Amino acid sequence: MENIVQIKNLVKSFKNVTAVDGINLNIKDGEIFGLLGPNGAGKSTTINILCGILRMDKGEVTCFNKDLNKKIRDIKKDIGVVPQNIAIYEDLKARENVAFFASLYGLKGRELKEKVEQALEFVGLTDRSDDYPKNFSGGMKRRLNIACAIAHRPKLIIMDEPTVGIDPQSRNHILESVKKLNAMGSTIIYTSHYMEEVEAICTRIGIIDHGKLIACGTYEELQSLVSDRKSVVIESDIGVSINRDEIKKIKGVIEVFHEENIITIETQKESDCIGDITLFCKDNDIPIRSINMGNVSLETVFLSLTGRSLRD
Amino acid sequence: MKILSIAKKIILRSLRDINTMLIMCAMPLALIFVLGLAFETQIGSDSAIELNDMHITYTVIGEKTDLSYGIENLMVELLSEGSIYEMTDDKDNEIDKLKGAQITAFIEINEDEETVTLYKNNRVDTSSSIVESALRSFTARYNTIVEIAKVNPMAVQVILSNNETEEYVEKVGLSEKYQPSAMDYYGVVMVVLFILYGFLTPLEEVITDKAEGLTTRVSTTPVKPIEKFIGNVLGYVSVTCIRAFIVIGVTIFFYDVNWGGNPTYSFLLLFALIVVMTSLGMLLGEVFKSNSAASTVGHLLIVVSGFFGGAYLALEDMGNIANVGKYFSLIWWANTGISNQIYNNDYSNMISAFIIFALLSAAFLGLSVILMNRREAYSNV
Repeated sequence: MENIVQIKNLVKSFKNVTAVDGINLNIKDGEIFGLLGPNGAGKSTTINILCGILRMDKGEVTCFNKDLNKKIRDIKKDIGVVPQNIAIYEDLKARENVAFFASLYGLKGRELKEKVEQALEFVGLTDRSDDYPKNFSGGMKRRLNIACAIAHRPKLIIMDEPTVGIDPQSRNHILESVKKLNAMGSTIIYTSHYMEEVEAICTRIGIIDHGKLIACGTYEELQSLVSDRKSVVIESDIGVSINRDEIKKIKGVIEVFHEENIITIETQKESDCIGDITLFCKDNDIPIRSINMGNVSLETVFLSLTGRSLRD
Repeated sequence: MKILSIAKKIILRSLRDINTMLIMCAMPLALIFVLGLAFETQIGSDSAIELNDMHITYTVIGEKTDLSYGIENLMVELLSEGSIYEMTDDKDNEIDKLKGAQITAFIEINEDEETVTLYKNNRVDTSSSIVESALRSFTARYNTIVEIAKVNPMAVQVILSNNETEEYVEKVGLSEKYQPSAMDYYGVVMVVLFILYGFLTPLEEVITDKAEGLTTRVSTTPVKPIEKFIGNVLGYVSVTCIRAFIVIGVTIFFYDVNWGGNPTYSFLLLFALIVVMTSLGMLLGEVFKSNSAASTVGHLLIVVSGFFGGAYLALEDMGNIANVGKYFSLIWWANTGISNQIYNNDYSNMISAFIIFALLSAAFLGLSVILMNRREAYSNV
């Protein structure tokens, strides 16, 4: 596959802080590329340079084989940006919002009208197209935020944490939309804090920390970087409380993650501590609905590569 | 197309903001109505300037020619019974009298150099302005006829024979029918004040759009900064124009406010003021990050402008401060320009106001462009 984005030795500093420190990255045509990193890692700065919002200090970036510094307006025509914060006009109707942004990409007349309707249909807002976003739920606003970025059918769509703060139903809708957009021919750059989203939809993943790209590859390739580990995933009850430090005292346990009713325990591959873990759960009144042994998660990969949790 | 889209978006958003629309339009109309009725007796017939109050002296240097006789005829036409127009030889004495407001104006006609000099006292501003307007009209016509006579003397006869009236000034401003009423006065003043507050719309929207990430989002599209800028100016100017159209319409059709026999120039001056205030709003929006700080600065500018524009106190009561300060007041320039055009047929203040407004607009817009380009990563590509 051809490279749609090529980034070489990208550097960007703000006063004394180097936000991006010599990143090299290629994004291939037709892939869904996940960009992972904690807050302040440099992923938003990288994305903002790609979108033309920031200028790079050093390096070379080409998009669609065009130099970003010389052909930014040509490049922007083929990019759709879904910003992290919902950026829509509350006092314009949903249809007017999409039409406004689409018109800035040069669409007009019948073509504009058709593509606006298609974008609204794509995000499932056709029946609410004449309503004002101020009357929308958070999920609907997120979907409208996406519609505004895709009406002009961009070749490259950059999505910066598009599922923050929404209900599971809207999140699933958005994830399905990302897959559909990709199937329709768009290359996607996707950033998220949610590992399971990235694991589920991204064909390749780049991990950024302290302004550097520390790992890049498919999910399997990243897992192989920490081949000395395995994970125990326990499904418990929602609201259950656990003491992570106590679990870590069990011999062979490296790290513990807890989100809603899922407890993920990373252990040394050779260790046989499953019995000790179930015993601990029993002694501490932690109900076990199911228990699975599996490969390491992205969270573990990130932890072993950077020494800190992605959510830190 | 992109420019029109941006302008259309601004107009749609503003027109849908019913609360702001109501406040911006209803407030000046209510104030005109209330103040117009409250001061009906103070402004109007009692304060009207009578032509027969005027005392004008003149001196002629050199032999009297058509120039002197023409001005004599003009004064006969202009002044009513009871007014005085007399010749004198003591220029210094007349100027002293003028300082003491004993005479309305003193005219020096220099036949040798073919010049006419008018000395007037600002304390009797309106009546001396009438004389000034009359002389301006006369000299303009006189000069034209002299120039024509040099080229084609026969044409002068034709022009003079076609001129059925000897009047050089239409005395509309002083006739019973056109005396400025309180409604006329406050109609103009409040419309000017309302336009000044037009800076709030661009200011608030520019700051809010920046805070909500909309400005950044628009920057990710291929639209050029200059297209964005022109679209914004067009949109915000249109919004204030639409509101002004409503307010002025009501003053004309319901309040019967006198905008003069030829209001086009007054409306053009108001349009120039709209551009000034739009550009000021955009500039403050670029400079400030919070609406409250920017609004405070904007309101302060309007209050100072209103103070020196005579909106709160009569300028005559404030001595030298007012004499200097009024030149820094947009309200003073707009009001004086419009009032002098309506009541004195004098366009000099209006022309000055146009020039000042154009320069201010250019400065504010230029600074806005510089600040906007600083924010844009690729302003020149």
